[in-house]
Amino acid sequence: MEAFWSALVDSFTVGNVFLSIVATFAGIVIGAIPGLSATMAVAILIPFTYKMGMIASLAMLLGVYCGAVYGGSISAILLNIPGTPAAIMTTLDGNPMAKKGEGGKAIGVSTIASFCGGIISCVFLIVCCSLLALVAQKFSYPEYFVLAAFGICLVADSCGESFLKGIVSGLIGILLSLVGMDALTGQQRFTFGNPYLLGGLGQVPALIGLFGMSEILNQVFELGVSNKKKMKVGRVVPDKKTLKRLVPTILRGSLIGTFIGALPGAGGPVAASIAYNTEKTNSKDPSKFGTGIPEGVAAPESANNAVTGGAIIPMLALAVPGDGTTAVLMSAFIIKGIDLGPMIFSQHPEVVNTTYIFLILGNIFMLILGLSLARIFAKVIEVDNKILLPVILLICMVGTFASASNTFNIYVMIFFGILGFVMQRFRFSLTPMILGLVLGSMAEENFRSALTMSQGDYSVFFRPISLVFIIIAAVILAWPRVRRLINKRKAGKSGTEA
Amino acid sequence: MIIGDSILAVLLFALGGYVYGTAASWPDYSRLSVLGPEMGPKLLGIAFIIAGVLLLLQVANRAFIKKVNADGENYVQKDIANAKAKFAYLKEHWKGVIALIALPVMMWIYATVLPTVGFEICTLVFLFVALLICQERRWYILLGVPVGMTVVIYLLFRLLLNVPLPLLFL
Amino acid sequence: MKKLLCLLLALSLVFAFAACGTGGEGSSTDFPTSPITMIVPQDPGGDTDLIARQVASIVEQNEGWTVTISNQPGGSTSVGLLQLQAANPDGYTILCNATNLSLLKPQDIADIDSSDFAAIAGCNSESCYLIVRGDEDRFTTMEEFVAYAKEHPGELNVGTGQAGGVWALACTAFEQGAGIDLNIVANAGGIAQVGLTLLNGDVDCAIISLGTNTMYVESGEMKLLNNFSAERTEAYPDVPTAIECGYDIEVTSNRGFLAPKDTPQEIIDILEAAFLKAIESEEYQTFLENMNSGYMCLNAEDYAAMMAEEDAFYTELFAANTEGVS
Repeated sequence: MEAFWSALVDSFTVGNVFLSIVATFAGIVIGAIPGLSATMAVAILIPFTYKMGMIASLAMLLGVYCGAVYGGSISAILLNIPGTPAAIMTTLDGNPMAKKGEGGKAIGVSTIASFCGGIISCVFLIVCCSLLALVAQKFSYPEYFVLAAFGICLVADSCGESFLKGIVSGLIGILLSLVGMDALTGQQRFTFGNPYLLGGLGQVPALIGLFGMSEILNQVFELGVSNKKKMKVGRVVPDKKTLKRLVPTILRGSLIGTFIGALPGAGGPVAASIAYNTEKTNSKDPSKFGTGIPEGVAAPESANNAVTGGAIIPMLALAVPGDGTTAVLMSAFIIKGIDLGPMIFSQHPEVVNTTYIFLILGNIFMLILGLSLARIFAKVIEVDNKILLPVILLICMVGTFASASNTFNIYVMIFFGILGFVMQRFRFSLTPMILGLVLGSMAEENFRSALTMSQGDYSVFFRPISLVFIIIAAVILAWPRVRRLINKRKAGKSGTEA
Repeated sequence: MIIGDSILAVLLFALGGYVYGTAASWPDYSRLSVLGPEMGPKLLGIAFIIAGVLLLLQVANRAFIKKVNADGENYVQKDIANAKAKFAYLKEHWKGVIALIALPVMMWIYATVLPTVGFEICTLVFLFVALLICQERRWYILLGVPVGMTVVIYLLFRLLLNVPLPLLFL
Repeated sequence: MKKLLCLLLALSLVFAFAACGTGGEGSSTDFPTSPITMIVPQDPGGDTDLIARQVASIVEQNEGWTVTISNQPGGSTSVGLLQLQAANPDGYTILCNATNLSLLKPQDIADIDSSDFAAIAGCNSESCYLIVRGDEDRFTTMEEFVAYAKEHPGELNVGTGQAGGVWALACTAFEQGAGIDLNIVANAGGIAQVGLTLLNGDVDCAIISLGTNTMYVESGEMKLLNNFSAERTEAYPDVPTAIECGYDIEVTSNRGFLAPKDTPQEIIDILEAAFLKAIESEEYQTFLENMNSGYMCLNAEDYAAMMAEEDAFYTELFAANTEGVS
């Protein structure tokens, strides 16, 4: 405890706190720009840390991290384009809310949910870092497969009109996620001899195309038709009743996010997808999801910000990054010569404590900045559509280009934009496809790796930790259906009685 | 959605066949991996074909077995009427159709030409034409927005964030 | 309101142009007069990326140049290399390269090898090791390991990096050289994750570079049986090399800097001098120590020769390994 207080005193200088505020703001802005992700934001700032001390570097990087993950939700809500991959699920209910005139409320819910997710994950980080790290350490191929497979099974509730088309949509997503060089054998799958596709289709261009461009194509068609009324923004801070209703959603999302963040290699998009769809499966009326309800924003946003704290757990305790952004964050430690791993708690406790402090501060500033600036951000959608649409298309292209500095990604984005548009014409729901894209290769790769490791023995999927997750997954999937059956029986009985 | 679903079923057959065929042509990797890289695509290919069959069954069910829906309308006739209405709608809103086709094409051109011509000219031209297509007519917008956005993006990406952009003269 | 907005936009344009001033390029002997772009063919935060940024920052400090990093991941470094190939050979675009270049042609990923580029300098040599768990009692030396593997063909799981990468090929080279049959479990998640699978017991051994797993070696949870470089490393003088144990295997991952092929020699000389100075600096050497990565300093000629050797080595390895892939 003493170490914590002394670290607090050391770090709480005016300079560092100011740096944290500025960094969080910069993070929010960068995250809000489609194409610039949290990982990029941190990567851009790493060179600046060469000249800075460890404490200042942490203040800056952690602030940007928190801000960027949250910032993605702003463009997701207002423009239907996820600013960062972690915000994909936020578009599903966030944008409908904005279209209904509840844009401010959506941003408010997102801010508060993100804050709660971040803080709850910080609590886990501080209290049970080593414990969670132990579990994360044991997570290997079979367990990752079960997690990904569970996420994909949630497709069943996102199918929209037609169950069959929903499944097909998911399968298309999985197929697209397999494009690239196979990790286990080096076989090039569906790359058409193009080296740019060896790493896969790229999450950022896919999401920008699927959400941003296809949505704009939808709207462009309606341009001449109706003079769209301007979207109102509305009040930002949601009322107490809504907040109370959202508490269980936020708690669940935060837990899911912290846990998935703690798993090496699984980050924001996975957490948001699983949180959103678990919430949907579990809700009394799943069909409301996607029409614009606060739960649909609170669940993924609390999850993706909970990943920030969660991902730092394996980074500190195991020297393994919890997600893509933490991988870049690690380099700040390496450059300064600070060894990550279990020894860091004894060798550099001040670094550990400083990390906790600025992660918490980053979340707090994100809350304050988010709520105060929400109205200003939201003004964007009041711009005339004729101007807004071309400008957004441009930002999509430039953002996609900036995310990887090559123009091939723009082609990928255009492909996904057209694909999304066409699929919607054929009455497909895009949500299963996104699930397939995000989780497909994770499931397939880990399935095959697990079998290669066990040399063909399928019982490897039933070893202790894996079995526990299969049971948890089965319960989460089955329980709502069982409950609905029970309710139907009850309603049937009382119906016949009455 | 009879016509649409039938087309879709055919597309699914084609997709499934292509995926399965490509995957089957890959070499054998059993030394490196118990289930090779062809397993996933093969399963997906089969799944697509099955889905196509199911879709056709649904279509057939509506067209030939049920024939009329709950309101007493004939499925096939209703679908044809819908299609005709859609075509008429498209003809009426030809401006929207042009926009729909032109914008992706312009984006493609933008991406292709960007490295050589440079970001400034591409952005200026793209925004100008896109605004025109979106039926913007006010001259100060047609000039101000492209110029303004080019400047903003340059300042933000290049100067502030140090993200490399192919530039011609800035 | 809108008119005012447009006026403001136009004004800002004027200011922007004014602020830009002259940014033109000077004559070639005056190199460099504008920022140099260094392509890093890897995601930010990866090893190549960190090393490139460190060297770039030291060069900036020493020479007063501006070096901007452009991450171009993908295609096992081929995306970045293809970009370099297409760039102007004027010295303003360079790249931080890894041994993956030599793996591209043999694996049909891209039709390029080291002869398509001009070398500037070599800066890093990463060795890989045969690692087992500290409490492993089936084999405690290289000889015991090979003996066990011969008695139990195909039983031992060996964790390594991504298929088609240098360490996975080291596994294949090891199998061939020692005449044993291992079950290769490739992992695209990075060497830290491979280390975790080793500790878990999911794999029996690992052939990877150390990186952050060094702490496990120091704590005794992992043990190094063998070193696949040419000579014993300073950090682990007790670990024998494969060559010493009688196997003709040498696999290292080497990094250096490249420029497009037709870059004028005088510009290459300027770059070479600057980069060698940075690589020889104390700051860089300490940095590599912190990263647990091997130090190497080669001038342009030596680095070009090393890359040519690697090209030949891997082409041969793939040709000989065709029975693994039918």
